[in-house]
Amino acid sequence: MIFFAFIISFFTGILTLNWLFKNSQKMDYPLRISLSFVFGLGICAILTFLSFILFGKFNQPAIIILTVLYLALFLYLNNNTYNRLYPKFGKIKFSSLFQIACFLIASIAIYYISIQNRYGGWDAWAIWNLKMKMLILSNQPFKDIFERIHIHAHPDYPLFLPLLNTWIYAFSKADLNQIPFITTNLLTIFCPVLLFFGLKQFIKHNIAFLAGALLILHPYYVFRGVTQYADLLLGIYLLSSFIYIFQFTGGNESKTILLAGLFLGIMTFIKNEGIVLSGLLSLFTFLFLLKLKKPSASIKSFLIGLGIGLIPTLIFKIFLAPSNPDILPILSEQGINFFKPNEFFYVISAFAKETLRKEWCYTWFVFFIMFLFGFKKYFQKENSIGILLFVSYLIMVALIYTTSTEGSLEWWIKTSLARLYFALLPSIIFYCYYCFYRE
Amino acid sequence: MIKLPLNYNKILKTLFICALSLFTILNLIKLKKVVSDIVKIKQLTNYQDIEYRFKGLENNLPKGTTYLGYFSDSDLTKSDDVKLLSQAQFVLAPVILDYTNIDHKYVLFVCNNETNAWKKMKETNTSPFLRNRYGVILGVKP
Repeated sequence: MIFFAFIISFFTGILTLNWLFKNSQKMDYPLRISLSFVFGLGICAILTFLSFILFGKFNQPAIIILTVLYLALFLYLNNNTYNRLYPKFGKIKFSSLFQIACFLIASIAIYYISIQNRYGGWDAWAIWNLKMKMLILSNQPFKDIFERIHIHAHPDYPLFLPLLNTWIYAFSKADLNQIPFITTNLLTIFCPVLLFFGLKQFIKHNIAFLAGALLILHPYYVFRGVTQYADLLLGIYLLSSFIYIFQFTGGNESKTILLAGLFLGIMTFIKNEGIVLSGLLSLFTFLFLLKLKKPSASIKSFLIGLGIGLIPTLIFKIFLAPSNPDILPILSEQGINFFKPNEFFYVISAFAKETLRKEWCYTWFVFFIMFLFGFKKYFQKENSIGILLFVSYLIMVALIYTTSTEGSLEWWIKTSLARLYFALLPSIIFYCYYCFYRE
Repeated sequence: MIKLPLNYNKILKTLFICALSLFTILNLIKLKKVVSDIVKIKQLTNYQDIEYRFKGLENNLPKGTTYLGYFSDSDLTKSDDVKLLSQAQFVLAPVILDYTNIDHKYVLFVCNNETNAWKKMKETNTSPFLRNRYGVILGVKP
């Protein structure tokens, strides 16, 4: 039944994107359906959020009715374009069969690794899955999550993942421990597939497959992926945003950049790091759009998409969640820890040491060498968006680390830096391959 | 000035494809090792279970209980001890565990040394209601 819920989620995404693009989208079919799946997850989480705002607690009929109404609306709107939903199979090559076989074997390995750790990592049951249980079982879930649970459960964290798992529960009534386990397995397997189809749009098929294989077979990616944290979802949305931004630069289609904005907006509802990433990527995308010959239509589409995507986060942050003591501590009750240069350099050296940890299998080192050898390419036209984002994000993170008053800096870096890198990994692989191998 | 070969870019791209392919194969070998290690671990122990210490306690609380006091003799600023609190909170949700105030009607005593639990119960006039085989005591006030 959990997979049935994911199928419904997928249909919400594909019907929306099919209506939005009608006959204009120039994406390959597999990439379209992959991005539809990602988008569908966002729609379902937001519909669940809406039901909680309307009814105050878990209401299964309300969630189902809202989803059915949404599907009905977009089925009606897609009236004349159902033919675009059907896949068009060409000749199946031996290489494609080989790739599918590799993917299936890797998926089995991922599942086998995850069942040993079926409750996930610490933050899974201390934060994300705890909030899922509160949403489903509590009579006053918002009061419990935002005011009553202990500070270690981070009441200020956005609720995308718990809401998504709650939506799945509404459609499946599956065991509460099984839902996040299946969700995380699916996403861990799906992310390299999205990477492969995303890159295939721009570079040679076999090189794109190499990128997907590098990710799905990366032991630390698998380990982090199956911990049931929200970082993987953040990574998937960041990757999807990149795909839409680079797709736009190839065709200047306003609906593509609208979707890029939409994905960036929804990304802020996943984690607080998503707010920083989204803000920076939106800024650099906006600056890039300003340079176009006729920027106004594109900028308008981008801002509309971003604005719509930001609505759940704005409601959450303004009306529901307490303030976050880590980011912008001046807005919380705790004081700001003034910036100390020696701590800043400690943090920068910690960033460098993290890239060389053996768990990462020297992946970061390889991409750094790729960057050095293809240096100019990373600053050409739209490619500069990526390098600006990653560098500025790390600087922002360093500033947050050094200005927060939360606990020991060493402990905080030790427990969070690997996850920050993990969320960036799919996008960095995409970006490096895109810049280096695109003709 | 060094004159680069005309197909310099092509050579570079091919070199990196080889390097990345090698890394992918190395990752595959490491992943295979992880799976083999798990096969060995599974022969000794079952899968991870974080619920065993607290499972079933929620069935002994009256319906509608919002808060449950939480007392521990360990330092809740240390990560290992907070982990236990987080596990208890996860299992017993939606009941809220309150470690700052044990004046609630029901209190959970999770102590390394059980004597400390009994001492605290005596101090706070709490009667033991249930004790499981892991030494976790659910106490109730009159």
